Amino acid sequence: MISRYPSSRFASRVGQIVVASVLMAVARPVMAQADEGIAVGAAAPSVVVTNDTGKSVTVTPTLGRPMLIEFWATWCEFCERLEPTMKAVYGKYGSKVQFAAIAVNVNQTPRRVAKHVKDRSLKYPVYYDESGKAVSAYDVAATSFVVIIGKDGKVAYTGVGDKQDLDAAIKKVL
Amino acid sequence: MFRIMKFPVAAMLLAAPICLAQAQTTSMGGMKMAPATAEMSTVPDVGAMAPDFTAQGASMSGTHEVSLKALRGQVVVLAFYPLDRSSGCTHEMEKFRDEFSTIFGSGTTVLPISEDSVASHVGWARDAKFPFTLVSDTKGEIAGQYGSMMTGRPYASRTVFVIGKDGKVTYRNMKFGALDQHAYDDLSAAVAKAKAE
Repeated sequence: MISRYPSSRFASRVGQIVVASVLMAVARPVMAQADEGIAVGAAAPSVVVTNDTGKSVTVTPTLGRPMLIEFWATWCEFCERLEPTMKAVYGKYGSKVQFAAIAVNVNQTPRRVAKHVKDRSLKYPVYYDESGKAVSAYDVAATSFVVIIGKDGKVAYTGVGDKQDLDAAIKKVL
Repeated sequence: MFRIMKFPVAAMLLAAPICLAQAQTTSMGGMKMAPATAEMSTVPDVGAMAPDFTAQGASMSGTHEVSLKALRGQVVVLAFYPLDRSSGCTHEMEKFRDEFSTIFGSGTTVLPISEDSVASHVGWARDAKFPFTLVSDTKGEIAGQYGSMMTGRPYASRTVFVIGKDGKVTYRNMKFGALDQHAYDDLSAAVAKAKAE
């Protein structure tokens, strides 16, 4: 029986697959780099957002105390999957680290955000970026974007997606 | 909605060699313009003529040449973005798709532009069913003409230009917030104004 793939053609095909696999492996980190976001090492800005009563409040890093900010949305699947991690690190580090979950102003309302907070029993402080200036200040392009700020007021960590090791990132700034 | 890639591994494996081949083709004959220079990196002011370009575009139906000059008489939106299928760009393009009639209305030509290859654009346009043409700017020359290259990174920054029927820039946003509703509202207002002129 004649093989459908002669050895040379088979080897060529295997070679193509190996090259393609390598290309895809190196492509993924490039994709991550292309996303915007405040740079690690940059001074973390203060931002004005609204709280659950609609009042303007300033979220500002406090020197000497680390801070975690998550930019999220009720419609964000990755945020939903990151939620257990957020709850866990808040329960573990809430007394040592300042938390702020800032809901973006796209395709959701403060009312919907408030309902989500209640339904999910979120205990960490949740705010709404009514003006969009918080997103702009932190150059956020994707929901589930997390920023961890060190005691020196500088950005120590940024990440996006549902598989972030926030526990490890927080330990580094304590 | 924030989604990263929905791209089967098998398709990726098959697409990679195609991308390489396409990149070679594009580098030989895709772009028809002078190389980007430092002078080109200045941002066109509102009221100035929008720099012309001709490049390869990709839509659900395949590839075709896009010439800005040939679109004179229409309101055109140029939306520079960093990378196909990346999270922020996916959110922005899907919002453009889902709210096309609200943001742009009928009769507007929307041209998102990135440095991705035509093959990458075709795959994404088909997967996401975009109702607009993605322009391939593999050398960043168009982005350079519009002052829309990221500092220190080989990607376009996220900017938006509205070009009026006479070919002049009527609006620009050099830091378009993909996650800021106000950015979309401002763009929508700018498009409506350009159409009325």
